[in-house]
Amino acid sequence: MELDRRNFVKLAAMAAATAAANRTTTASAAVPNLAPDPTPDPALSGVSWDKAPCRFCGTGCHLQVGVKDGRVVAVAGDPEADVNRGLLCVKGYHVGLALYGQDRLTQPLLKQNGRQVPISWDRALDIIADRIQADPKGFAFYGSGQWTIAEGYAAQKFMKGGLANNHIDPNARLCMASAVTGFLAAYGVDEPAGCYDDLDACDVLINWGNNPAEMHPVLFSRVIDRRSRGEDIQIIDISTRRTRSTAHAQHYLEFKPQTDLAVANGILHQLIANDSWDKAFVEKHCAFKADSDPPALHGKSISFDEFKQGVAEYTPERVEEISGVPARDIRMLGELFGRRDIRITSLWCMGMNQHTRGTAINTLVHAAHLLSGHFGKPGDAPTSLTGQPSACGTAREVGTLSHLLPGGRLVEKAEHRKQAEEIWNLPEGRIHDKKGYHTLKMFEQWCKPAADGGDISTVWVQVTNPGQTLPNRHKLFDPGVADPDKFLIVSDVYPTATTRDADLVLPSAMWVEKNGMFGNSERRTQQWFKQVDPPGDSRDDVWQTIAVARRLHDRGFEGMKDKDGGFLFRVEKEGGGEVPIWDWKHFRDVNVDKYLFDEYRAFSRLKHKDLAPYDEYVKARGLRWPVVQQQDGSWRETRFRFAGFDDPYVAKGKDFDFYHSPTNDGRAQIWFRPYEPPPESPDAEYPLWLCTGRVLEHWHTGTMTMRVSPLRRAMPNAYVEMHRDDARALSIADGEIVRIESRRGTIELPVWIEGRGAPPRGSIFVPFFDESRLINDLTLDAHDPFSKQPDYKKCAARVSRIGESSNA
Amino acid sequence: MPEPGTPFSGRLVALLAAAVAAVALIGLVTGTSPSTYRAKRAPSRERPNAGLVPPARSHAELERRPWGDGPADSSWNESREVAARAEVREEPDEKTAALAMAQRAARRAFDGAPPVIPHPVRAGGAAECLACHAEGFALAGLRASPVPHAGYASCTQCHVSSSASFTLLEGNAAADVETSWRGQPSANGGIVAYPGAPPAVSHSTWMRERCESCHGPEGRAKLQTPHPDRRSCLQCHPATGGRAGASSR
Repeated sequence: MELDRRNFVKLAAMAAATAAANRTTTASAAVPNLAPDPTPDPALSGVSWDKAPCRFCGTGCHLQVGVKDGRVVAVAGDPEADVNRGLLCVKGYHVGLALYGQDRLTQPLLKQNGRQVPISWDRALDIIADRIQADPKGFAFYGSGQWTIAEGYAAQKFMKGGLANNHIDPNARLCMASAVTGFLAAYGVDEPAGCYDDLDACDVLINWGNNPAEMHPVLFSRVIDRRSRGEDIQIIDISTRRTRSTAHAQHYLEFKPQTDLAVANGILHQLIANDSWDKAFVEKHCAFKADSDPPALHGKSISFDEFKQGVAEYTPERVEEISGVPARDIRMLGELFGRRDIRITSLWCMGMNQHTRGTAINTLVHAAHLLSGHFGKPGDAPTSLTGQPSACGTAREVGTLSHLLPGGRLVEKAEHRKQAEEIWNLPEGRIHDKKGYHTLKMFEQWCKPAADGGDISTVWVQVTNPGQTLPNRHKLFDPGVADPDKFLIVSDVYPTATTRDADLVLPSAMWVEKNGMFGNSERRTQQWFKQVDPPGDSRDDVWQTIAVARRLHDRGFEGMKDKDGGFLFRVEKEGGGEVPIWDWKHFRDVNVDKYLFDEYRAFSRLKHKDLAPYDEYVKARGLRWPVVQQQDGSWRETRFRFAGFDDPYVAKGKDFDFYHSPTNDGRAQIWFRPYEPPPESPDAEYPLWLCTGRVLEHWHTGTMTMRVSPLRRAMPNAYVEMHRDDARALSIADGEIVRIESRRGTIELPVWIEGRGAPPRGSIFVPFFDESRLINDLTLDAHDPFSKQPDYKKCAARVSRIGESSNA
Repeated sequence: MPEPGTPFSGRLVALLAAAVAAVALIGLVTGTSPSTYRAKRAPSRERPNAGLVPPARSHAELERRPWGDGPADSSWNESREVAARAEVREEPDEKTAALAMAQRAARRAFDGAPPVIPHPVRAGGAAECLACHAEGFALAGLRASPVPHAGYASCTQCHVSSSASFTLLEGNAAADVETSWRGQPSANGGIVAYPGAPPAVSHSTWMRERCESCHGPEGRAKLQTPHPDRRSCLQCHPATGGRAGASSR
């Protein structure tokens, strides 16, 4: 009977799935294309629909936004979008609600005598211009992977081209920097070679310290829904705690924090021990690398024999000893990678990136795919996911990091500076030749008193919340707030843990209140138009930057002029004459996004990240770069980079070409990197591992999602996940509010045993979305030597009952 | 049957398993066997099948008398569909209809939003959800809707619980969001082209390929179809409502 039922359910499921799949491919036929009904129901009338990518994670789902009477009233997944095929996650469905929290910031606020009081925009611009003019070299810009492309582009042009100051960095430093250095070290150029199409073709999906069921739900369901259609897909969860993704995995490999490097080395060892590495692919397309002394991003080339010697230590038994993952599971991984008849996709996100050995583990996972030849065929891909909607499109591609110029150029390379100066029509030598401060250094210098060499006096924060997300907050945020000589400017849409300490708060427009473009995790550039008005006196971030630039220009600040004396952000009317886009009344006379994007496009060719003209993105549901114009004038996107069958930059007849190879010979680099212990491990005083992360319902610091009723009700505050035995040993009951301490800070949270996730003995987990409980008071600011990305995933902590001495 | 001495929880598990299996069988039977429903008469104020409808029983009773034990139980299997018909044959009651719509709206931020789950969830995989929601059931005053879009396996991706299942911090228990959001309301019934015409579907059919999820026997009173034996809904009810398929740009 049970079997009958199962079969029945399965058949029903398959029938429905087939129906859904058919609908996807022939959507226009199956789903009425809203031929508007002649006599529509009053409740449905007057809703107009337009496209936009989701505001939240890096998946980049395409939405249809329903607007009525100037307000967003509904959101739906776009059935014709490749990315999400009509599906969204609970955050995406409710993204429209994020615009309508009652406490939206609607006017500029200046801190006076400890209180934030409303001021005019004119006054706000003067204050910023005053701060910059007083100390142009001590001014820093802290931005975001949530910046639209135009916003990020304008900000870095303003800093690097205008102020000749490279102290601009995005929060992507805390998020994606190790993925970037990993791609650079392996392929010589940033961003994944594969794309989401791999998820439709893989036989094995490996999640490396990754919980896509909660963090990238639409991508994860793209894989597990294939099972509902009867396909056989193995999911392997390599993690430090059980999550919702574990529930869907056939194999759960639990490793001790930091030892993912040993697991990856174990795979490399097995490929060689079993003689199952892909000799043809490696001999033709790969070379070997190891760390140099002193360490450098591109290390030193080594021979295959040296590589072999390096990984020889990582026998399955040795890996088990280091990592706790059973030797038989390491053999299982080795055998899977050794097979030529299956396709393997690896996914990772913060687990591998927020790691003091982040670059190392990134390169090792690339190494496992390259050595085994599981690369460049649909379904065979090492793919890093992004946490923010435009970590790729803006933070990385536009070059908002402190060492970059647009299009993968480096500020320390004279040739690259010259190219930027030419495109921007700047006098030669305008761009400063030293890289600026990365995020941690920026805030360290802002927190340090000027007398002690703290040379950052003002930070302007846009579209991010460092007061909640910087690690070790008591060191990297609080002292700057307390120092009366330091100034904090924050552009945001709601009061946050950062705005509450800001000297100047600027109210911003968000999402469909402005034009925008994002770039998702699979190199897809997406465009949308403004659909509703921003509330009160809130204004676009890109306008804010341009308006400050103009204020400086009008005060005679030379940097805001190009070499012909024109304004840095000069926009010409059709038929001649300048549009005063710095004047809010005229900002929308032209599409500033289009103007900035088409200027930025000129930068995109150097690294073969070719972008199409703006108008092509208006017509498309995103396009994956390189987007190359065809003979017939149409624009073609690229799904699989470096692969001869798809990438137009691979010469005809070649099956692969790594045309930005760090060794300039078309080869990708297979790295050997040893396991090294973490900077802080549990000890007698702080006996537990503390890991931090996210939950399905909230996006990052919850600024938006905590104002969305269904999301907040489901997940109203932070908690600490703890193993039952650890709780019992401390006489702690499920639900009890306990104290959590590290060497850096303390918070109190309720215990949730076997809740959303389940950490093993000796380890606890706390989500970071709750601004009333800042777990980043406890985290460590130790960081990766190459990417400068801090490690939020492991430090030593202890838990105690409240009322008992914390030293007991 | 559980062994003597099986702990209470063990018996409960066995009982629940039996209940699930039974519901599945009902689903199988009602889903595949031809209906016995005959010609439609003029609507009556009486409940024509009242005698066939078993009295509702509490969970406590169910535990004492497992399926198949007593006379009420033996009739239960075949009565499910009948019970549903009995309800929908009542005279239209605007108040009930409005209540059904209000209850429906209370779980959605706007028309088209995935409804929230009115009970605690812990589910990682779909199995826990599908135990009740694969075929759905109505029991002891509770209603589990059958999934309208089978084939998706990560239920909690879109549906979250309407309340937290862990300790709330002080000040958070009553905390709700202050918002000016006004979601698009659901249409109150589809367009009827002329008197007697089958009403058009008033909502998007996207991910709602199984009409009986809301309009079948487990649906709320007044949302149920008066003719559950007809299985090809879109044959007569044109799907015109809802949102755009593709935006022009």
